[in-house]
Amino acid sequence: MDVNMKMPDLATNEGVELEIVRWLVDIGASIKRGEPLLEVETDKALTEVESIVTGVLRQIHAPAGAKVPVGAVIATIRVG
Amino acid sequence: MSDKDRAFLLSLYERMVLIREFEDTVKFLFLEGAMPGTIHQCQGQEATAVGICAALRSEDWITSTFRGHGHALAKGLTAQELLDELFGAESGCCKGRGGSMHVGNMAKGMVPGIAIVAGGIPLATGMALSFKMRNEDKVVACFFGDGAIAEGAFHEGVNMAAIWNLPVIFVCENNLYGASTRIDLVMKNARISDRAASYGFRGETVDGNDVLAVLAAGRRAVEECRSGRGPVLLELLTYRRTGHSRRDPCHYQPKAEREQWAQRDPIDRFAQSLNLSAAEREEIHSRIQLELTQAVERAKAAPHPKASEITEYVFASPADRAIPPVRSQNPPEGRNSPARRLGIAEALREGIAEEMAADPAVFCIGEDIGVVGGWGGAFTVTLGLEKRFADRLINTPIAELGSFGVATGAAMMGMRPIADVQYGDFLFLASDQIINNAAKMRYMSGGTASVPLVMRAPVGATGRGSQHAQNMERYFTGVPGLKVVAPSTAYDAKGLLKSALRDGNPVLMFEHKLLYGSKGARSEPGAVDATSEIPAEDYLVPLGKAALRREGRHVTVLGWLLMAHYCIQAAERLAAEGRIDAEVIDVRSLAPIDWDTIGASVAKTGRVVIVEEGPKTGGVGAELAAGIAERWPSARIARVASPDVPVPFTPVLEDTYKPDAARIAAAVSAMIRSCA
Repeated sequence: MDVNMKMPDLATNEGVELEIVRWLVDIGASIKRGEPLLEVETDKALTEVESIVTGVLRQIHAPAGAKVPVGAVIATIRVG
Repeated sequence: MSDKDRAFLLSLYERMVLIREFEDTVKFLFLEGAMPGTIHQCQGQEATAVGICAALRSEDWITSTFRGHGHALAKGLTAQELLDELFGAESGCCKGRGGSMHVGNMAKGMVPGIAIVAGGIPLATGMALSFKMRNEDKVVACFFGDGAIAEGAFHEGVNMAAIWNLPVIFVCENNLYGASTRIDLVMKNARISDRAASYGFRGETVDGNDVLAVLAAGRRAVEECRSGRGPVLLELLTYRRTGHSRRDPCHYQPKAEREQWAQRDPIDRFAQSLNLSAAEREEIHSRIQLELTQAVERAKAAPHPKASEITEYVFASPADRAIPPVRSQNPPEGRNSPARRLGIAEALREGIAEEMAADPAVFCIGEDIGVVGGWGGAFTVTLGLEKRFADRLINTPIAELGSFGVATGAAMMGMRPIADVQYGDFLFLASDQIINNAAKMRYMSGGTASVPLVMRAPVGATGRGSQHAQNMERYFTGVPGLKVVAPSTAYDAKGLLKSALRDGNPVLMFEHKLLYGSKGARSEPGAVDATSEIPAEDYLVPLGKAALRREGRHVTVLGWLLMAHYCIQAAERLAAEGRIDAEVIDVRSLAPIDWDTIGASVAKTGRVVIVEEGPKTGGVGAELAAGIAERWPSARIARVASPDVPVPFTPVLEDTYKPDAARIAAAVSAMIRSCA
């Protein structure tokens, strides 16, 4: 099953787009729930975003440097 | 180790895993954007909640302040009722009215979580006071964080528990940070358990990441509390592995410190001491994860409250309680005499004595209220009652925040306290407990908690300058969950007090210093006669009802407390002059306002003069004026009130400050002239 992971609501101010600083996992690599998947610059700080599921990273929908609104799909992870 | 012992220890382990997995599940639901609101989580602190709650019996109680999911699961609330609450569902433990910060379940010994950092401490003291007064063998474990130590409520609540030897375990989860601020920035002595000695009781610092050490300390504390040697302060050293709230990336926690504490993870350590294999651990974690996954699916599908139900659970309805009647064996005080003429102070004293005789749950709490050789409170209302009810006149330290919190906690446990302040101005100190706890508890608990609390406060400008004189009504009339009354006669005072005591909700009664009729050294210059014929039999004056004091045709004059008397004087003056026939209504119930009685008069006269002692801006009069204008748009409205200044001392200015009969009469005349 493929799970779409969305940009979490990490901004202190509503409506702020969050910048993806870098991806910490390569496409095709395994990741566990709770492990850092990417780094994001919020309006407040640089922060790591954890994977919401355990699986294999299939696809990255927004590259490093992209500014993404909260709720946008950023990655697809294959579970099971 | 016996199988039974091992089964018990495994149950502790599983409970800790349940808390960790629950918190992680919720965290990822937030990251997915699937859950509303905010959360304060407790990953890394599981041993504190589980160790302490394992030392309690099911009939014991806990209070919680932040990071309450773990406390709730440890006390026996189910993951389902918590998840439902977090999703805002009607099936949540607080019917969706509380949310993450207020989880609790009155049937399982957990009052709704208090999200005011030290706000649960006086509450827990009051709960323990109720157990002691009823000779019940129960204890309260009061959870709070290191951040609570700096709040005044800690000092006041802990001190009262100490002086009365109450069965409270004050459980401080010291995770080194109050929100993002490290404790050494906010306390010179960062060893929190040292605080206990300064109040004269025992404190202990415990490794809060060792569940068995916490359990042992909890059992010692419970034993001391049950044998009358409480309270106890336990400082549990622990560490939060997650942000303060959901968007907190924890950059203020040094990496080395985080890693060091990760080595002391309470779940890993306990698994090692239990010699659990990796496979055994995996089995437990997977089983709990699966249960939680299923619970999440159910919670997502659980029905939410209907928008039309927004006003449910603000007040307890009378059907929830048995009304203690004044029985033949506890007859009214005046049974051997015909109706007597009493002042407000005497009538209140009589009403309190009758209710205390009829119901052992009724007690008085306040400063100087029952000191032998004292005054019976600032205005003699409780004078001499300590001779009859020595155990039920609780003299407090000068600590209004603490004492109102104690009263609220006792009320939640089924007592019927009457809490008073010497001067209404001091209600500002108590207002966190009144507004955030007493008034909201019913709602936040989804209608499962009740706070049958009566509060009394003297108000009015009486030669005491700015801080013993304010009319405080304005500050409390717009508080949902709170009823407010303001009697102007002795008859009303006694009847309203009894209704308030039997109502089952928080009721605040304002009394005017010039109306008490206090005698001797406590008599007031400039006092107005508010005495009434008090019937020999039991009677009530209903809450929520205004009183028509004088019928008239031309204009409606609204006042309460002292102003009700001045309004009548003004109306009589105008009547004597022969031109204006004014109707006077004693508003009496300030929350809720009796729009029926007021409306019937306004519909008849079409003109209203609202009279208030206190600044015109933002007063109760403004609410009355707006409410009348909305309901009867053609009515003419004027206000007579004090100028927007603090209450002055010097008599010439104080007289100017306070509306009087002449000013009221002038305003009424001006309105009639302008309509002519």
